[in-house]
Amino acid sequence: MSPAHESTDVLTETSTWTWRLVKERGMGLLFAFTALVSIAAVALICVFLVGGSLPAFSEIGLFAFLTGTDWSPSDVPPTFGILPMIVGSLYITAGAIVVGVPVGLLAAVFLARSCPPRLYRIVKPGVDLLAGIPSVVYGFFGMAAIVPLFDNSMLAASVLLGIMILPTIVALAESALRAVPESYYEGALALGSGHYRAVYSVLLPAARSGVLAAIVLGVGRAIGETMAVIMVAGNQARMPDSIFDGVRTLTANIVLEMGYAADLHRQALIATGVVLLVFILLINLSFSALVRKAR
Amino acid sequence: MNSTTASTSTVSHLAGSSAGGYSTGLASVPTVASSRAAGPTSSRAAVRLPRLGDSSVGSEQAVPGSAGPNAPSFAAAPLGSTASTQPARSCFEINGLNVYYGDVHALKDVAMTIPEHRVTAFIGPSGCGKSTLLRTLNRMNDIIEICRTTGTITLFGESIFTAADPTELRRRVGMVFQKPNPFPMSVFDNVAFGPRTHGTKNRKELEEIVERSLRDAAIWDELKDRLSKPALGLSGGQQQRLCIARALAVEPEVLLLDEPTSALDPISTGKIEELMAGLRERYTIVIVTHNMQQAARISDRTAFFLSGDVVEFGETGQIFGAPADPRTADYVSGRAG
Repeated sequence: MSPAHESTDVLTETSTWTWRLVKERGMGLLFAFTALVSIAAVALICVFLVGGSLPAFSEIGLFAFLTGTDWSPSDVPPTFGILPMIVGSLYITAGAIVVGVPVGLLAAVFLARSCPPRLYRIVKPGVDLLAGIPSVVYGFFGMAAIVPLFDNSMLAASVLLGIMILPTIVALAESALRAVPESYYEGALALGSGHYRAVYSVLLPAARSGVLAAIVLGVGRAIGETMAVIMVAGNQARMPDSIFDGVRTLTANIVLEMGYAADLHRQALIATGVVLLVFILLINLSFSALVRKAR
Repeated sequence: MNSTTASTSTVSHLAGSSAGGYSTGLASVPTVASSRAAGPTSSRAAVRLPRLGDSSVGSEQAVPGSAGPNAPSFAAAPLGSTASTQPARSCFEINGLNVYYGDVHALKDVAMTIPEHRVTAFIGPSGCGKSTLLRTLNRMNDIIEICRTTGTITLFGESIFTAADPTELRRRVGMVFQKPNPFPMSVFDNVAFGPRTHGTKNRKELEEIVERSLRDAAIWDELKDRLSKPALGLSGGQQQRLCIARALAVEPEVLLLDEPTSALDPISTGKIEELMAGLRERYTIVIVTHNMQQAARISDRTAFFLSGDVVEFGETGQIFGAPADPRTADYVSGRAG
């Protein structure tokens, strides 16, 4: 029953299997490690930001830091109130939504439902290209084309950011719209509904979660944007009175002063980063909640 | 297939010995014709009644068209309603219709008259053009860019191609699709979508329309307490009846059904067939079906399609009992297609 050659066969087979198992395990570990690296990066960022900012929070006081309207790090004694920057970031982001969301959604509807294929082959890569343009180039564009119209102001920054979040919103909203079954569209048309009525009362509501996720991700991009904003927003660290005033965002505050800041000033800038991080976390949480709802 | 087996066994049971061969399948369908030769009206009625629960069904179908001596039973049919005994006005008149998808010639020189207040069934193998014709009747093919149509179709004498905007045509010619497609909104909003589209804003009026439509689709009792619930939570059969209600809510004159029961279980299929039997009183119904027993059960006239041609169009009883064309005979007996 068991000639010699057969038993060797069994042996080689066993070692092959063992080797395969080792490879499988090894690859598994490699993937797990790479996944951990990215998680670790997030964790480390949190640790260093929070660690670096704790002295600022304890010395200035959380409340005074968040609600203080005066940012004068060079005064004696210095004051560190970042409310103007919080307001600046929120206003500019809101402005970007006002500018970018309607345009982005309508563009997504056009691309998903009405665009002739020939035009699509031009428009779609064009929109995608917008996403790849470095923000400093947007900044140049803003200085050359938008600042002459609106000055260095909140409005200029909003318009520029609105353009910058377009590709995010268009791409995500378009794919959300494309994921809506064609049968909804046909069902609406079969009831005598026109094309746009079908799109706005059936398709967009059906893609609601995905569209909201697109907006949220656009907001995340807008609130984190730094370079382009610095170039057009004016950067005055004071409470804005109107949309034509210059404002400074949280991100700009850090970049503009980090180069020369030391001690408490430096820690206050890191604390600014923590506030920004909290905003981003909130946005990401709502994004994943929306995506979960979309499924 | 379960549905057909279930129903045919019922049929054979009730129709007695003459229909004994029926339950063995399609191959024996012609025996219905021979059984009818013995006692056409009664056997036909026995075949149909238990299925549909509708006494108005089938005086015309009972007549196997050109089948000769049985023709007088048309007048004698005791079960016929007024709708089916009076000669039908023509609803759609189709002439020289050609439809192309790009280079594919999907419908070839089709001429057909679809009578009002009748159920007309389109049968034939996949890709034969029956769904294409259905989608041409309410110009749903307009949304397919590569689709090209020549020829004429009139709806009660008016060309359906005259208006640039097909929305009014589609209001008059409702459509129900193969896969139930309720919108992802509440039951109420689904049914109210059509009326709202056509300008009804008044809440009370909408409520009346919704109730009436759901009643007409025989689903009011099941859904009256769930009007605000999402329609996607309903069962497949309920969804399809909701879609029928949604189509009825815009008060169409014609109802096109594209294989409305092919995604449903036998019980739901039975309910929808019953529903159609009731709806033919008020609507002209055109149904595409792959289920030949279904066509035989519920339709008054049947058209058999093969690769874009209408091979034969006539009384359902004649198509299934005494088809004139050998290709029709092969198909309805299960030898081809």
